[in-house]
Amino acid sequence: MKHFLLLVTTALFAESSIACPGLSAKDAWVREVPTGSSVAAGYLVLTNSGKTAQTIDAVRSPQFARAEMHEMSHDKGMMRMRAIPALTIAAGATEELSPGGEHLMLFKPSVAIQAGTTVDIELVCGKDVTKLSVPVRKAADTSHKHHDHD
Amino acid sequence: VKNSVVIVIALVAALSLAAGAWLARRPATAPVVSSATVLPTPRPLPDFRLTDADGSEFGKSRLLGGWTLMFFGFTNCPDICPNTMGLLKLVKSQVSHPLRVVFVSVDPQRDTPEKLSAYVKYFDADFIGVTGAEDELRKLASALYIPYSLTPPQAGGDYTVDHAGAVVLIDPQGAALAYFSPPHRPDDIVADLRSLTRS
Repeated sequence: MKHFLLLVTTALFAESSIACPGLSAKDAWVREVPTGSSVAAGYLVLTNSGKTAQTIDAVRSPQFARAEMHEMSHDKGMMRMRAIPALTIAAGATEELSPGGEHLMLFKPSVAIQAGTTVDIELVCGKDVTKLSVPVRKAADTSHKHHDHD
Repeated sequence: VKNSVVIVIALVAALSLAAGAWLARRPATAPVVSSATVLPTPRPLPDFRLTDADGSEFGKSRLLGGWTLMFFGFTNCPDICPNTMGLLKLVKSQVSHPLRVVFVSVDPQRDTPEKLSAYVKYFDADFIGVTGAEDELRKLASALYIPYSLTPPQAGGDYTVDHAGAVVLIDPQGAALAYFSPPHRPDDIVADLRSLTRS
């Protein structure tokens, strides 16, 4: 039991413990939830270095009531955001979830999601789960390049 | 006679070339822009009646006497709206003249004045949040060619709103002048604003 607990604790607090075979995540971040809003977006770059395709069929986060994977399409000037049931990453492929495109949508936070904190995100591939500890950032930290005006 | 004809033809040709060169050198009447879509003639907005996040009436008169950037969205929008609001804050800080930024929520059912106020002020204390009755929102949105539609609710009652990602530039007379469409590049928008608001 002690060992089991230790394993669970290690998995929960690991920086990014990979369990879905071949799948790795980098540059993950969650946008700080603006006051007045109750949703957040998560972004990351997923790479499948395995020899077979990997399908993420669910996303979870203990800090949110619900999590989904979303795609974005542009149609005659309209942005359409839709949940996708699964995200398949082909063997050797990289999938980038980034602002204005595919993203994780996180609903109804149970705690304040502020820059400097972290959010736990679980990517579920069948019976395997990749657990990530993802930093929360203000959009301005990453989405714009900075300039020198002197 | 032959010589005269040649001289006349040469003169006409020279005059045409000169006229062409003069036309080409004339200063362009349209401002030079890199990312904006500029309307050939500004499109005056109709009178509309919305309410700002402080509960005051917000109509066309609030857009007069200053330049406005207007964006349509909703607070439960995880990606496009906070992206664009962050962009507008950056743009506002980089243009030298005052710029009014108005966020129009097309989700009045969920976006109460309190939520809307907290939301816009999170990005910038001077940002204005407005919303109102469906017919008034439609009137403003369609006058600006901004499409939006609410999606059918999911099992938990959550729904999303499809909406334009464009930001509209409204001139000091309350007429739509230009559009900035995603993907937005802040530097281009700032440069275009300098050019467009000079005229």
